[in-house]
Amino acid sequence: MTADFQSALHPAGPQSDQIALVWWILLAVSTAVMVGVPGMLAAAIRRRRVSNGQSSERRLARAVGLAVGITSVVLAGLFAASLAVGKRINSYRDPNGLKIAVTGNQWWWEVRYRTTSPNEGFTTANEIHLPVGRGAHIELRSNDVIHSFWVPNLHGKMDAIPGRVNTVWLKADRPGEFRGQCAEFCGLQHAHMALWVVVEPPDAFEHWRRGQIEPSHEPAPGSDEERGREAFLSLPCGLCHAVRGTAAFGQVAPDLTHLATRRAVAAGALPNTRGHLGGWIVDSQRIKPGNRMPPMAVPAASLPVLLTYLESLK
Amino acid sequence: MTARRTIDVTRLPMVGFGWEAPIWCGQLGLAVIEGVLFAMLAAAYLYSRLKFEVWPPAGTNVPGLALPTMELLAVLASCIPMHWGDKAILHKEWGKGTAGMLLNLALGGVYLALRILVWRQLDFSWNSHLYGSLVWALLGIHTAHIVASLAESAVLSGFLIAGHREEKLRQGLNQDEIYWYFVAASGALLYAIVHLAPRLL
Amino acid sequence: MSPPGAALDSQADAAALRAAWSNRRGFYGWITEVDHKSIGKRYIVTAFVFLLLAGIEALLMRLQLSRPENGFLDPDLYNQVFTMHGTTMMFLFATPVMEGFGLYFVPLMVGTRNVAFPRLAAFSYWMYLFGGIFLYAGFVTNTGADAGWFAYVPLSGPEFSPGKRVDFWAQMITFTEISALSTAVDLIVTILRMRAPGMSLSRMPLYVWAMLVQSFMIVFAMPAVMLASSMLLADRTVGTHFFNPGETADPLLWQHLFWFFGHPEVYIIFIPALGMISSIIETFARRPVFGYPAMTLSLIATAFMGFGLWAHHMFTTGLPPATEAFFTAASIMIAIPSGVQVFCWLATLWSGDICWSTALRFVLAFFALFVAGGLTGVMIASVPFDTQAHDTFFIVAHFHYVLIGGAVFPLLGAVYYWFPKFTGRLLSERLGRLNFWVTFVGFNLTFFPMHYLGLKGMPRRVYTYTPEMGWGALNLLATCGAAILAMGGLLFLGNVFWSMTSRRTAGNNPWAAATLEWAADSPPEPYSFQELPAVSSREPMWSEAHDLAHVTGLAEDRRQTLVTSTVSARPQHRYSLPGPTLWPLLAALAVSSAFVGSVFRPIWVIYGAILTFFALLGWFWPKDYWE
Repeated sequence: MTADFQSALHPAGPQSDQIALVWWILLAVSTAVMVGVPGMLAAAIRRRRVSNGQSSERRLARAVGLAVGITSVVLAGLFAASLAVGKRINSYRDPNGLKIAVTGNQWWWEVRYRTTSPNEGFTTANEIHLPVGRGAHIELRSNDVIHSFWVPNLHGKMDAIPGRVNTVWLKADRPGEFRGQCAEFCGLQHAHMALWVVVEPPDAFEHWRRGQIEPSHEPAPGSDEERGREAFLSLPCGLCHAVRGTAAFGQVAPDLTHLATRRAVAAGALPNTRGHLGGWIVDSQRIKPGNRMPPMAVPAASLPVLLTYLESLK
Repeated sequence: MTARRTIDVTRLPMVGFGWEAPIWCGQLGLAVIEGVLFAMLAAAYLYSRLKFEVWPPAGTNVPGLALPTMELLAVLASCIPMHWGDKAILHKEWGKGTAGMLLNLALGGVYLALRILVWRQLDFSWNSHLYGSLVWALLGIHTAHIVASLAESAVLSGFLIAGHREEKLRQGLNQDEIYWYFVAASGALLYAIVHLAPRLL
Repeated sequence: MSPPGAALDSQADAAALRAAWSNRRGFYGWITEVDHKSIGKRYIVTAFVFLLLAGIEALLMRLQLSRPENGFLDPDLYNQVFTMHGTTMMFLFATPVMEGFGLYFVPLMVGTRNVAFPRLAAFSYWMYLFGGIFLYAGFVTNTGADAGWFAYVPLSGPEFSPGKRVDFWAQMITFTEISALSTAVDLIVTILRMRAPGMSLSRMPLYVWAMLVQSFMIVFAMPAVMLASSMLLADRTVGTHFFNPGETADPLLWQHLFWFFGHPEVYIIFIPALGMISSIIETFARRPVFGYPAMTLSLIATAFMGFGLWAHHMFTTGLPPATEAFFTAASIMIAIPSGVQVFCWLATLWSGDICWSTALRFVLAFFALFVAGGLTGVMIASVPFDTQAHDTFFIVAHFHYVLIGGAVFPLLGAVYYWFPKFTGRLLSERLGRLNFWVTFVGFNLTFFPMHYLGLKGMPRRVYTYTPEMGWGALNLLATCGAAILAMGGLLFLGNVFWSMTSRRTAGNNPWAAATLEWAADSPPEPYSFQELPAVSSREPMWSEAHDLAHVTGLAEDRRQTLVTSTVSARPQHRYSLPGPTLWPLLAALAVSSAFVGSVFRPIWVIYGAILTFFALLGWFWPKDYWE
């Protein structure tokens, strides 16, 4: 009935797997208690009453003592289990792991792949790619208010807090596309602040990574794409957005260098199709009221070529 | 009509003092509440300080220690005539009590005056930086308590001088006493946080 | 006639007492009232009005979420509505309604004639009312708070929430906290200093113990949030930097201060409900609650532990692992005193002689609902699991099970139980049974699916979701459940109105219960007890009802009661209580002028303080009621 690409019950990595294990243990114990306590209640109210004073009080005291004792032992067991799993999750490291800086913004995620070699890093938005089986060390920051980074299929959530850097390790054991969503109320468009995590076989990941490092696609002279780029650069788009290899180098909105490779636009609000993209550019405030992108008065003649250009940014 | 068990309270007094008086307990409750408030603010100060390497921030001076120390001595000294006067009033020694209250008021006035001087020494404002906000908040809340407590003492002393001798007035003075002790105790905490902490931590 | 067996010749006394304790009728009488019963009732009625408003807000949210990409509420309105819902439920319903019951019943149960500080009780009500009106005045003028009931900085700070919305919210906090703190002090002193002779601490009804423990929790918890909201307001209005990350302030300071209050707040709501449950179970199981010492110690232990849990609301903020382990341990351990109480009640029911009633039904539902909420509570005490569940609909389900199942169901039971004392009329048991089942089914349909939605990735506080998330069906189910729950609420209101107009009177002790409030008339006279009772057991109305000792020698032509020693309740002195007065209202208006004014112009803090000084001068000016 519900989808499995944003679910704590469908773990795709070692950490979410451990957490799911904790959940199933807790659920089993809880089910027992949920049967036990109402059962005792039913027994207590249906029972035929024979009162024999003092001795029955003493027996009650023993029964209550026993029940409290069992409760305490079970709780201690749960505490130990939770602590053990917590320790295992926290101790996960991968010396060859990727380093990714994720920054929360109202209402989108900036994603920077960092490397030691200067020309290998790149910036994208609202989409993270991971190779199967390799860990990724995520550094979480916020540019404005508190957000929370949460990809339930891979791990629990971690807050992105202004003035702080929180870190979390992600690792996926199987390929797939998993959705994550901001989990800390962050204002008007908290509901539309999603990101996708695409887990791929290592060579597919490598192919994607190489592509992302490249500057933007260079349109053929005289093509619609080139006219589209002119339109893009003549509109105020570049004040906020960057397209590497062009004069657009704004830093306050998602990097569009490889926009066409992404699954969604507007932080998961819309699928990345030509129609949706057009609607977004012309009237983003209707789709995601309050978002920071002002409505664009795009000349009717420019819109098709602009979209063609954006679609070419692979 | 059966003989019902009764407890005759005709001979019991109409007022109690200290813990026996509900109003005194209520005043204690108020002091506890404000004490918690003050402790929370002190905790907020120390918590905020954790993120700083240099405290107070560069370019800001901690107010000098001389005035605050005199200030602290004044408020501690003022507790003596308060205690002495209150005891006298409990024993209905009105003259002695009035003298104690007036002496307390005078020393309290000195305390307030010194506080104002300390304040004028500050070379920053509440909106200069985080340190400024915290120091102003601590001083502001505490000074408001000094003013409130002095106003209460002044009104009660006024009644004393005007010749009022009601039991309620005795009770009022009794409760005024613990409030002033609270002001003095929180003044000592303020001294430790605002004046000593930045020198020691 | 108060204690059964009172003599005929005390008729004259009754007339004198009535003259001394009653107030003039009409509007002036209403605004000068200082009787704890009137104020308690006002508190309860006002709180239920706010419950109704919060319920309507909940329905609006449920309608918006009933299907994906619904356009019923825009995000701006949705955020205001969920903020108002949470704020109203916590600050304007749950805490005040428990205070209202406390104000009404504590003096009756300890056998005295009013609270220790009647004018303070009136003042606290006015502050509560003005705070609530202030918040809603903002809401209807499109200045409704929209940063959540927790108002995390920096979202709620001046940069990201410009305008006055959050100012209204922050100032409402101060209003209601002053109100709750005043009532807490009032109840603590009433309980510790004014119990009937012979009612030693070990003979106090468990409900009174619960209110004592709750009041102490208020005293230690609420200053933190008052401080935090005032600091936030200062950041927003006069440019301080308490929470400004740009000035190296740590936004987590707000969370620490807020949850240092916020977690105990849950117990502040829940502990009085535990007291209600004890009263109801004792009465309908026809025996004293099993394990009185264990019950009182559990209440006290819960209160202490309640202050060591706050950081479990912050498990995803990146706290050090050792800190997390400590708070996990504390959060799991607090289940033990709750368990002790549940088992003691089960033992009581097991060995008791059960009489069915609607009140008991609501209390028995607690065992299923609260246990479910408690179990999910243990689940989210586990840091690894909490990182998945935190800020999802799983949490929404969890705390509604705890707060509605754990506190509101017993509260409704308490209304059924004590309604005859308030009004002299019984609520209809037949409508009551229907009311119960509709509410129970509606509640579970609404909130049970939310556990699953949370695990399937639905975060809290989202105004909509896309269809491919697949959350639509369960959300629709929850919305249908909410409609049924709302019908349950209407049945409750219907029962109240129907019963108010019924002619059947209830009598002083319709349930043959054990505690002293049932010794008073139904509804009680303004002086509550014609002769103050004195007790020599924990269940005076069972063991000594026909021979209840009483106090003589108090004046009948003026308001007098008795102060007794704290532990053993030996009489210490007589105590004069003030009569009707306008000053609490004037003082509340003066303080309100400071609060409301300072939202617009900070200088009003000073003006308001001066006005308040004069109001207090009038309040405490020597009057002749003294001797």
